[in-house]
Amino acid sequence: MKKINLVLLLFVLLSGCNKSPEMHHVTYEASEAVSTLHISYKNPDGDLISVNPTFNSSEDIWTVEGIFPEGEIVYISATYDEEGGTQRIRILLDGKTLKQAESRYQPGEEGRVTLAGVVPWSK
Amino acid sequence: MFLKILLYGILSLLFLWGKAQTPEADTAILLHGVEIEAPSEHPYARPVNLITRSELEQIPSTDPGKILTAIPNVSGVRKGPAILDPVVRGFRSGQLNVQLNGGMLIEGGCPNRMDPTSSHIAPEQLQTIQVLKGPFALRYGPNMGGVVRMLTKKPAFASTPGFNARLTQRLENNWPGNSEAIEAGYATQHFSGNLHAGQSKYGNYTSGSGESINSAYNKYHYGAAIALQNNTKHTLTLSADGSHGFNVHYPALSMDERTDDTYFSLLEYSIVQKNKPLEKLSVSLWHSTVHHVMDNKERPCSDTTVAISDIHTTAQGYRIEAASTIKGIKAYLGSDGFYITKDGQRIKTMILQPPVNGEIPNKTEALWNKANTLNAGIFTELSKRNADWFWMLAARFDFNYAASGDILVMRPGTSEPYAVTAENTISTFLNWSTSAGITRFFNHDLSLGLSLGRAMRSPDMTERFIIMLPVGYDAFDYLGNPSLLPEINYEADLTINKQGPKGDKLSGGVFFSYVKNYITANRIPEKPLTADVLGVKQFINGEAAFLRGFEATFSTHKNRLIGVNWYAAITFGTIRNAEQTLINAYGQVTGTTRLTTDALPEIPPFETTLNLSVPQKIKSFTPVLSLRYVAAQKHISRAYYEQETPGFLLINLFARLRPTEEITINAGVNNLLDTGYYEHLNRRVIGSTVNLPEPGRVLFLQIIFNWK
Repeated sequence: MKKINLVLLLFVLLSGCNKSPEMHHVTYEASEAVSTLHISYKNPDGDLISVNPTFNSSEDIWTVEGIFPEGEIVYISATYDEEGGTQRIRILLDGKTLKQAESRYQPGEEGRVTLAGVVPWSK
Repeated sequence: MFLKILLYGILSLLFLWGKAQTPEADTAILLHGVEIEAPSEHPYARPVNLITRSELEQIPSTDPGKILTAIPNVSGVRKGPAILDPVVRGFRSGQLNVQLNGGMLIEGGCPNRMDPTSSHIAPEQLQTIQVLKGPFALRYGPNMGGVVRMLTKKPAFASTPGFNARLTQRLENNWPGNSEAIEAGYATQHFSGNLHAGQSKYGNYTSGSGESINSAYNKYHYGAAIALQNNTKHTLTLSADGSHGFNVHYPALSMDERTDDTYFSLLEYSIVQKNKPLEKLSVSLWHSTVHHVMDNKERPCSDTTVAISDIHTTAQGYRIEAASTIKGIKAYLGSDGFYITKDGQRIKTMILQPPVNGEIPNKTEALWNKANTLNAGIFTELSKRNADWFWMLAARFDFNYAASGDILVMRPGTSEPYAVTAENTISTFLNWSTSAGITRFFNHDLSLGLSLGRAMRSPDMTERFIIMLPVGYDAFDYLGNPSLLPEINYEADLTINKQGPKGDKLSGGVFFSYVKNYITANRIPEKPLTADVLGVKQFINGEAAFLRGFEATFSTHKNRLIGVNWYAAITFGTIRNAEQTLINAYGQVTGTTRLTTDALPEIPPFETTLNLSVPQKIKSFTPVLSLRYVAAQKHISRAYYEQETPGFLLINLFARLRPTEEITINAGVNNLLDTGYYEHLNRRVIGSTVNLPEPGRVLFLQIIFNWK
């Protein structure tokens, strides 16, 4: 019986070897804008999605969420119309800010904000 | 995961059914196929070292490369976790033939040798490791500097049908982690089969200085083997294995291993016939594949550019050998060969740049472009022993062919790339190697041996075809060179073996090696593609290199009250007319100069180890005190801006307990005094000038359950 238990113990220990990455909840967020933003973000399938949400007030918040594995690239790039505007862009990982940046009244591409990185591994 | 569960389920069922069926009476296990060429009393003049199954169990490591360093003058280049790239008497990489059963090669995917052949085998799988130093053993494939043969446990036949099983559990505190292995087999007189599986999961370790080293790793493996044998000793063996690693961290490299998936299989046929002209014939066919993915995602630079390298390699080969004894002369004749392919690329994603045409900007760079090499050889070895003399003659001839697709490197800022067209990558060589050895025995307790050898090796895949990666010791991108010529090693070894009246043994020897066309690298005026490197170097045939040194060992007879096992070794390497890149105080390259003589880089310093044990005096309990002293290395390469390494002394304690026939417990403390140190061959941590520190105090415990 001892031997059976030992085999089962090893069986359990060996089964603990799990190559599957942990999954994380990622939120892309845009706020503090007063006009249309042109946003590109990377979804969990690796596709780059472009959207143009319109903000009616600086209280409006645009978000999109996805489940990403650790090690996956997260990416969002946003700009506003030529005449200028404001924006604050954030990437949240499991509800906590992973990266954030903002720009205000910059002309053209200078107003673009790009945030990117890798979903960190759980240590 | 389902497959794993299924596999473990089958293992467990096999074991349980076996225990129900098998009588408790002792079952004779007839080992076959584990060919030990050079037991402790071997007559060869050439130096041969063995690590036995029992010794393997006493070294707390998951890496055979680390275990090999228990042999005098064998060390390893370390860039990450417990995965060492073997160095034997200063010879490394393509200068060594590191192989598994049947001459099997596993061509690693990583250009920086994250995954040398030895990294794909778990120690639990091994029956023995054999190191044949020098260019003298020519039966096991092309051999210029030495052969490392890792022989796994083969299915064993049994006079009484029965099951056997073995469980190994190992725990360590630093690296914190554990490894488990299970194997189960069933054997009769004519059939044997076994299944095995195991895993290792270790976290970051703490050095003796208290630093936490990012060196966590995960590995697992599994496999199966069956063997059939008839009454006339025809044996057929088939084995298949998988070896995997994931999230393996390399603080001394610019990338970490994300995944490594390796598969290898072997089909062997052999016949052993006593008192017949053909005493033994063995034929083996083997195949291995590696899919290696690495990236910089856990490095600070991944905030701007994420780089992922994805490499596939395959290796396949054969070995045929016949053995006969004619008029007292033992003769081996055979042929072996392999074909290796390597293809891979690095994709850089510039994640802080705005989208272009609806995509995140990225760039694809080839690391290898369908590179391949073929080697086919024939060999022979003749030897004879009489009362006072033993002599050996060996020779081999190899045809070597290598080719690659176009090698193209886009030069930043110009439209004209660095280019070598596919037809200009082709090279063929006819290499010949030969060796001779003679041993003189005096009064049965003293022998002197002299070995002379001349061996060639063709440049390896990296030296021929690598496309712009920092694969050397220094901070340069390296470019392969399809025009390289083979290296030639001329070596002489003098060995002595002396046995005292009470069975104590003293042995040792000196060696001198002259290497012609030594492959090194010179700077070329290309712009590097890797961030934070100083420039580009290309592999070239340098002038002559010289390696010389000695090894000495002393061991007392096992019946002594206190067992003593001591060894000392050193290698000294120099190269003539080496190019040194001049670097100013701001870290900029300002030119090159020539050094009349320079030290070869990454040569280990003098070291000596003394093991004191109490063998067999206390039943089933063997304590061992081990002292290891490594001298400072001050003979360093100026061309490579190598740094001096301070010496150190380590104290290790080990004990083995066998409370029953079925259970073995190994436990110990390595680096008892928690000394902060690093080996000379540890590479520098990326972004610093500090060599990768070794772990501080390590407590380990290993329990083995072995049922026959």
